[in-house]
Order: sequence, then structure tokens, then C-alpha cells
Amino acid sequence: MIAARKICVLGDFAVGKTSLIRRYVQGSFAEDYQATIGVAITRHRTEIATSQGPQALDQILWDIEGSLHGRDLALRYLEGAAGALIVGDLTRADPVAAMAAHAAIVAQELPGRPMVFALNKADLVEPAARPDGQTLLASHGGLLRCCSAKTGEAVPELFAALGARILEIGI
Amino acid sequence: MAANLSNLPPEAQLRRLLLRDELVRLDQLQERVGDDAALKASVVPIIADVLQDAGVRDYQRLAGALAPLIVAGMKAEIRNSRDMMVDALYPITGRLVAAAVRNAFTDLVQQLNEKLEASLSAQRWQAWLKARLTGRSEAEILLGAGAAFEVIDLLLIDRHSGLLLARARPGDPAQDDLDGQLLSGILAAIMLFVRDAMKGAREQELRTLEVGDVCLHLQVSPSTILAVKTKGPQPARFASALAALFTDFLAGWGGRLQAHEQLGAADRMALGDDLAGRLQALLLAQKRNFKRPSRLGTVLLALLLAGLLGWIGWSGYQRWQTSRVEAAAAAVIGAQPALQGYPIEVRYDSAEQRLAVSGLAPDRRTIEALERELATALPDVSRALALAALPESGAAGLADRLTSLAADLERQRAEAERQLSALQASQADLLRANQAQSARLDELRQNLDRERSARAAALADGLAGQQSALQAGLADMGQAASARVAALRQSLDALQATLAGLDARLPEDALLAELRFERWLRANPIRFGSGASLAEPAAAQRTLAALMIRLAQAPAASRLLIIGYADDTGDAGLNQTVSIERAAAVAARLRALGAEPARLVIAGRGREGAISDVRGAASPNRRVEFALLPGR
Repeated sequence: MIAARKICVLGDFAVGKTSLIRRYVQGSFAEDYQATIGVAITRHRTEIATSQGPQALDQILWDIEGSLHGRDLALRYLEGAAGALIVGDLTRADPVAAMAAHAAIVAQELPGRPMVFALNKADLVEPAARPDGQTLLASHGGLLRCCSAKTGEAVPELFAALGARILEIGI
Repeated sequence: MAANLSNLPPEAQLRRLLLRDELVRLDQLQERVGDDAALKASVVPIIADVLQDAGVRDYQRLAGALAPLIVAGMKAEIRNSRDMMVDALYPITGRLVAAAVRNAFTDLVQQLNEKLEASLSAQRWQAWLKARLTGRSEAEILLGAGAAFEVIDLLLIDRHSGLLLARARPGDPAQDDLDGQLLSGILAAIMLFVRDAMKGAREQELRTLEVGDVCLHLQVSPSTILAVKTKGPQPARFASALAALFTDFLAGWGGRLQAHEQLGAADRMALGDDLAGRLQALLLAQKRNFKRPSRLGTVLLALLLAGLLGWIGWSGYQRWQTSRVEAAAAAVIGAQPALQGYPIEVRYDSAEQRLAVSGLAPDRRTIEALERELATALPDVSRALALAALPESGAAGLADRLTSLAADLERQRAEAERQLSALQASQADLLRANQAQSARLDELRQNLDRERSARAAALADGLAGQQSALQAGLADMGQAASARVAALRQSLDALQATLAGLDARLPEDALLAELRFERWLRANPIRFGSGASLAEPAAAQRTLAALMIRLAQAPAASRLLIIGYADDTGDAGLNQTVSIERAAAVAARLRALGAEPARLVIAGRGREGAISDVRGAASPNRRVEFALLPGR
């Protein structure tokens, strides 16, 4: 039987959470923006390369509406998650700070669950202007990549890294 | 130390002298962390302080590092300490029990309502009547009449993560492409949303989701959701059956489901098989309409069989007893020589256990002897003897009586033959009289026919003569009337001509003449029959001639408006056309009589201005009227 794990995708409003999932699952991108109401759930089955070898995994992706700050209901959606993808927007003033706030909530609600960090909309920002985000990694570990839901840059890598970490630590 | 130094090479002595303190520290460090054992001995006293200090300095990182180990340990502890966990979870299970009791009461109320509604509904009475007529049970008829209830899908879901733990479906699972994992996640999210958005207590959970006749029934525990997808109207006891299924399932799997990530492949297979088995049990319960199997039928059948066997045994015993008693009685009677040749009947009534013997016996003594013999042979049977004994000197008297009866019979037979002969003679007389009457009737009928024919011929001759005379008279009267009408018309024309001449000669002003002309025009319309054909051509021609005279005397600038009309027979558009054609026909006739075309104006007004309710060719509405238009 193929293992299935719940993965939450978090971040501020309109940073591209849904677009990243669409790019990862469907390989497509839409320019129009439609806000997610509540939560949208998507299942994606893939083979993950782990330190113990390849392993099939059903990733149940919970695309949670907007920001978690001050929203008890959104926090409920984190229950039972095996890991989280924190998404930031490179075009905003301080994307890393917003991601750090979400990561702190995840660390408090889901201690020990792995996180990866996606700095989205890399196609709109010059490489030199991209933050390194090392403070996030120093605090929470995991993987941080500048990515683009539009071009697909680094998107599969982030989900695969999160899936591998979840399987390796057996959560 | 000095002795030791002297034994060393000079380079080593120099190194010792220069690095003595460092080498001492290295030796101390070697003792403390030089190998695994030394390192372990050194860390043990301080590791607690180290973790404490690390927690103080950076709690998040320490928690993140230790959480996987702690979570795994807690899960293992939960599995290994189920009894303790039961105690700890008692408050939660108490709420579950409360919810289950509440569900049971809800079901009970629902059942009572359904029974009350069913007992009063027309459908209930129809089913009752149909059941009596067809011999089927009401339940079977009602079940067949309603839409079938189906259990379509069972999903066992981890409540926190929304992950699908097991799934069972009747039939071929490959036929359903609904993504179980996706559905499970969405259901978990919906329940989270409902619980938090509605601010309900934990035991006030979302229980059903309905779309059309498809319903999703949700059974929930703190960690697990059982979603059952059904179609059709829900039977009254389904909810309680589902709750019982879920409770039993949790009793077997609850602890392991809380740590479902640790379930191996074999456990997951067993979980799926268990759920499939419970689905089959649910389907079987559905066939019984979720009632417990009843033994009433078996008991009734056993009682019926026992009764049948008892009846058969009792009947056999009674038949055997009857034949035994009657055979014994017959043997006693056959053993009596005095009764040989006498009619005697033996009958045993098994219900009253009484032997009845009836018939004739030669004398009273023989009867008494027979009664004694029967009492000896059948002491346990009551007896009723109804035997008649012949009188002692009855033989001679009986012969005389028989002779007398034969003589009486012979006399009566002779008298009957005599009466029969008289009746036959009377019948022959009646037949002859009847034939004579029939002949007389035929003769009268023929005379009557001849008389009727003669009178009819005479009457026809008389009628023909009278008819000829009448026709001749009518012809004479017609000719006289025609001549009279012609004379009257000539007089009328002469009068009109005279009037016209007089009018022409009268000295009056133009206005008066114009008014008179208009009055004359209104009084003299032209009648039409079908289409534009005149109803009375001769009269119309006379009217038009008179009109021409008056028109010539009217002011030269005036014009004559010729207005055609029609009745309301047929299409309105056609009537409009016909009315114009009639006006045009009159205008043509006037032009033929010398009227200036410029003074004639025609108009058609269809069925307007009706002056009569008569319809058809004789309708006065089919006409042309005139009006005088003043000069321009």
C-alpha cells in the first residue's frame, strides 16, 4: 500500500501557493489570480528519492487560504500534517520575515515536522536582488530555494525534498 | 621526572621542557574524551544541564531536534499502555457515549414519527389492501414501492490528517474512480470548518451531508471518521446500525488507528478486510431492514407441525378405535343364530365413545341376549340399542293386510286408466274445434285485404282529380296575380315619373331640392344577391333611371357617393372587396345611363352599417346606398 502524507502549503495572501501546487501537480500556470477560500486539497502521487532508496508517496497537499496569523480555523488545518511548504513572494519588501513568521507557527503547532521554503516569483526578480534566507535555514533547517510557479524553476525539487525528509524521519 | 627525562632522546627532552603544560592538558583531555567510554562518562553528568541550557537559549531548535524522537516514543507508549490510555481517554469516550445515546433517541423519535405517519397515510392503506389481495406482506410491498436504499461506499479517515486509512465498496471497486484520498481530505477539512465555524462542542459534529438522494453519513471519534455513502431513503434503524458498526470497529482498531503511520502492510490489509467484512454485515442487515433476525417464524412453524402431528395421531387412534369396536360388535351379532337374516346396523361414535345398534330382531329375548353379549365383549364402551322386535302373531295378519292393499291398488289403477281415456277424447274434440276456427280466421283475413285494396284505388282516383283541379285553379290565379303586379308596377313607374316631373317643375330653392334628393337617395338603396349581381335587376334599373333624373337636376358641382355594403357572411377582407365591387357595378350602370364619371365617387364599407340580422343571399345588408356630396 502506498504511503500517504498530509502536507500543508502556507504563506501570505497571493504569494503563489495555489500556483505552485498547480505547477507541481498539473505542470501548468495561469496568470489570473483566484483567491483560495478556506482550503483546497489536491492529491499527487510521485516517487520520492530517499536515503533508503526510491519510495512511492501520496502527497495530500492542503492549500490553506491566505495567512495563518490570528486565524484559529486556519491553524486547525495544520492538524495531522507531516510537513509544510512555506511560500514567500520575492517581489515583496521582506518576504523572508513573513515566511519566518509562518515557520514559527508551524514549529509551534507541528514540532519536529520538516519544512521547506519557497521564494516564489523568481522570474520577476533579478538574481542579484534575491535574499539568501539563511536565517530561516539556521532556525528551522530544511531547504530554501528561489522558485517560479510560472517557469517551474525549482518547484519539483522543493516538494521532493519535503517528501524525502518526511519519509526519512518516519512521520 | 628528571630521571624519566634523561632517558628520552634530546629532541623529546626539549619538547617536554617547552610544552610541558600543554602535554599535561592533552593527557587530561585524553582521559576525558579519548575514547567512547571516556566520552560517555564525561557527558552523563552534564547532559541534563546541557539540554536545559540549550532549551533556554534556543527552545525552538531544541524542540525541533527532539520532536521526532519524542513523537515516535509517545506513539509506541500509546500502543504499549492501552489500559492507561483508556483511563486517560475516559472523558472523551464518555462524550462519545453521550452522543451515541442521543443518536439512539433521535432514531427512536424518527421511527415513532414514521410509524405514525405510515399508519395514517393513503400509501399505508393501499399497501394493506394490496397485501390482502396478493397474499404478500405489507413490508415487501412498501419496500418494493419505495426507491431502493443502497450503501455505496465506506471510508475510514484519519481525522487529523484527513488521510484515507481504509475503504470498502460493494461490487467492483474499479468501477468507481472517485479519489478516496482526495475525498477523505476534503471531508476532514469540511468537518474542521463546520466544528470551528459553527462553534459547536466536540460531540456536536457534522453527521450527514446530503446531495439529492445521495447522503454521506459521518461517524466520528476524536481521531477517526467513518464516512458511509448511501443512496435512497434511509431506513429508520440505519443510523443506529451504523453507530454500532463504528463502535465495534473502534473497539477492535481504535488504539492502532491513532498511530496508523506505524501500521505495517499486513495490518493495513487486515484493516481493509475488516472494513469490507463489516460492510457485508451492513448489507445483510439492510436486507432485513436492519431488524434483528426473528425466531417467531420458526417457533410458529414448529407449533404448526406439532399440531399437525397431534391431529394425525389422534385421528388415526379414533379410526382404529372405531374399527375395533365395530368389528367386535359385528362378531357378537354374527355369533347369535337367531339374528341371522335380520337387518342390523352397527355404528360407533368415537367422539362420544358410544356404540349404536339399530335394526330388526325376531323377539325381545334375542335383543336382551344381544345386549348382555355386547356388555361382556365391550365393557368399556357405552351402548345404545335401538332394535325393534317383531310381534309374536304378526305373520297371518300381515298377509291379509297385504292382500287388501293389492286389491286397493288394482282398483285405483283401473280408475286412473278410465280417466285417461276420457281426457284423450276431450283433447281430440278440442283439436277439431281449433282447426275450424283457424279456417274461419283465414277467410276473414282475405276478405279484409280485398276490401282495403278496392277502397285505396277509389281514394287515389279521387285525389288525382282534385289535384288536377287545384293545379288548374292555381295557374289561373298566378296569371291573374302576375298581370295585376305588372299593372301595379307600371302604375308605380308612371307615378314616379310623374313625381319626378312634378319635382322638376316645382319652383323651390336649391337647398330644399338637395334635401329632397338626399332623402330620396336614402330611401332607395340597390339590393344585391351573391357578389356583384343585383338581387332585382329590373327594379334596380328603374331606381337608377330615376336617380339619373334627380342627379341631372342637382347642382353641377355636386357628386354622388356610391357606398357598397356586405353582410357578415365569410371573411371580412373578402366582404370589403365585394362591397367595393358592388359600388363599382352601380357606378358602371350610372355611367351607362349617362352620368359623368367625375361626379361619381365609390366607396366600400364591408360589413359595417348592418341594417338587418338576416344573413346570406337574401340579406338586406347586401346593398349599395347613395349620398350626395356637395360641390367643391
